[in-house]
Amino acid sequence: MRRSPRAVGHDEGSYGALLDAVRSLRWRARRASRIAVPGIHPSRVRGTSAEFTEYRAYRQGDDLRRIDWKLFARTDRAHVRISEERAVTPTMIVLDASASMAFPSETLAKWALARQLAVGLAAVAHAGGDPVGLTVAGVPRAALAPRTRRGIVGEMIRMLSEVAPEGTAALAPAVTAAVRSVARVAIVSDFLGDLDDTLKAAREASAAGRDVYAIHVLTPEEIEPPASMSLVADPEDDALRRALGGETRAGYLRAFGAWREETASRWRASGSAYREAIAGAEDVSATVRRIVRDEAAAGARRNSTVS
Amino acid sequence: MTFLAPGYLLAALAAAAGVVALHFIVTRRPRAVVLPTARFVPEAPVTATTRRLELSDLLLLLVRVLLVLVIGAALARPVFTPDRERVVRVIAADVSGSVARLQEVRDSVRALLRPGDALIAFDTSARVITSVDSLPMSGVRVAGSMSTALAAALRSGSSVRAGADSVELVVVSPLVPDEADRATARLRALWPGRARLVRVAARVDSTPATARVVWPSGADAPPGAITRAKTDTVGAVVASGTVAVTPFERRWVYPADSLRRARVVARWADGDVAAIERDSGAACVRSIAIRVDSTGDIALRPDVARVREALSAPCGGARTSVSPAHDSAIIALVTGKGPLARTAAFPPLGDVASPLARWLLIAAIALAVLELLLRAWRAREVTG
Repeated sequence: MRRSPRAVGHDEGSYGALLDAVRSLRWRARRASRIAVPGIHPSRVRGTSAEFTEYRAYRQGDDLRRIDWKLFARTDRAHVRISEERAVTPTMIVLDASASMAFPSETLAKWALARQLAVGLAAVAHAGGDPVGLTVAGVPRAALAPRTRRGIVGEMIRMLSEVAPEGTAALAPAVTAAVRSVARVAIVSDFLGDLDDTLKAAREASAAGRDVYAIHVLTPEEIEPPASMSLVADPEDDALRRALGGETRAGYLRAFGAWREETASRWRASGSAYREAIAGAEDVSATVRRIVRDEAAAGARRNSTVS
Repeated sequence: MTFLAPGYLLAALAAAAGVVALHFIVTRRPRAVVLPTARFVPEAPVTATTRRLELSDLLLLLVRVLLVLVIGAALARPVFTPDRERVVRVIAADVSGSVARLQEVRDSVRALLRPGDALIAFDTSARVITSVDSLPMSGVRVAGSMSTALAAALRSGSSVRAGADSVELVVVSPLVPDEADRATARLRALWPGRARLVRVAARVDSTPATARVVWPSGADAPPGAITRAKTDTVGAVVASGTVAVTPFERRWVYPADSLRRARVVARWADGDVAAIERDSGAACVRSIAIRVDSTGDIALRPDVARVREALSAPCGGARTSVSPAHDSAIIALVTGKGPLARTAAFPPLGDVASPLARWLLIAAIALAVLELLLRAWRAREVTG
């Protein structure tokens, strides 16, 4: 059952423009779902609905009512009609709220982008009739189980307004817990924490047939630190201080660029969909559109292959 | 301009040199800025020496150096010095009862006084006055005190030392023998040069005025005195150069009101006033707060008898001259020999106010505030 974004409740406030922009988007599963509950996503269960997809030669045991008699009259061979069933995809958004997300300290642009991406993806999933939930890694009180009810997105917005990024909470346990009850997990993080453990959890989830999305949140200041930064410190490690200038700046650009490429490669190798989101680079709705449509198109192409 | 305490200025110059050296030598540690991806920065020494000098650095340095110099200048107490003359005068004008016509003294002073000179009017006390017109035209009936005039002249020498190379002491007085006492010679010796005497006519009195001497009677306080809160004992009393050493019971004291327009004729050993004399028409009234028992042998002692005799003298008291009173000897004593006194021989006055110092301190406070603001602005520039 589809839900209109207008029904999400009255607290969307500053998220109004984002929710309006993503209203028409649909987030199709990358993989065919094993769940038989009717929904918008392709299902692995082949059924007898009206949407014809293919013919198959009659085999002993097939329902005689599925034999296309017109085709039999033309070909003298018995064939049965095959059509696709549609299913729901319960979705969980896992949001990273560690101290590294609170950057830059003046604007918190990274955290703002992460929140908006989480809300935007949740709104798209909810509009498609999918149960959607949200969990903030390391904040037990900030968790909403997947629901299709009206106002779930508004609840997420209100919950996120009370969360501040701090500490060094691990992401992997939240991902592991999320994949137990859903078919799709979207991880919004800067992946500066327990990346190896998170990748392991994502790999296992992907192997178990879950759709895993990794949205890597970055800021321009991290990609190209301004010249005024001469001595930098890690917010999650008090002892780590480095001088940034001249040769060290060039070394940083090389090392960070290599890490970004390696991270992207590892996520894709784990079977996950990987996307970078840079604060200020484009409108958040465009990023959400890129995430749901590109993967939906890739998924549609895969699912169109006759098994 | 000159500085009353130039040592502070020298210290400030040394401190300013230190500030300049520290400004360039001290290695600044930049403030650490949060960057979540700091782990990707290769390890390198955190501090680095930069040779680049920014405008904000130079401005801050200038303000700091100025601050130190201004504080040093304020503590050094600058004063403006007038243009130096070759000779400046200290004129001591006698306005006592020894002078026949005070107008003659005024005319003499008017002829002598120049801009920058110091003028002292003296009788039994001395005071610095600012103009000839301030000289009194009527004064006390008794002879003046040359010792008092010389003491005031010495102080005036210190006050005019900044304006000239030499100081000439000019005494405008009839210079009667009664005006010299035991201290006159010693005080004259302190003046480091010769003096000039401008002699005016002396008053000639046919008969000295008789003093009405009021000794204490019983428990009643003498005129002008009040009973002390607590009676005490003092070991000696001095009157007109005579001293009586014996334990005296001290019952009364002269309040400040009584001492105005009165002359002190006797003092206790601790300096308190023991007897005063006030003019009363053609004569004078002498109030004595010294109680001498008529019974007993204290009254018979020679020193006590001399004190009683001194306190019973005619109005103006009895003075003892330096040597057998001789007109030429007194003149020689006062005028002296040799060159004029050099101003460098007079000690500087320690209590000269420096109006500039207050403004310099205000400027120092303003510079300190400016330094704070510049430092904050520079810190913001560094962190972006």
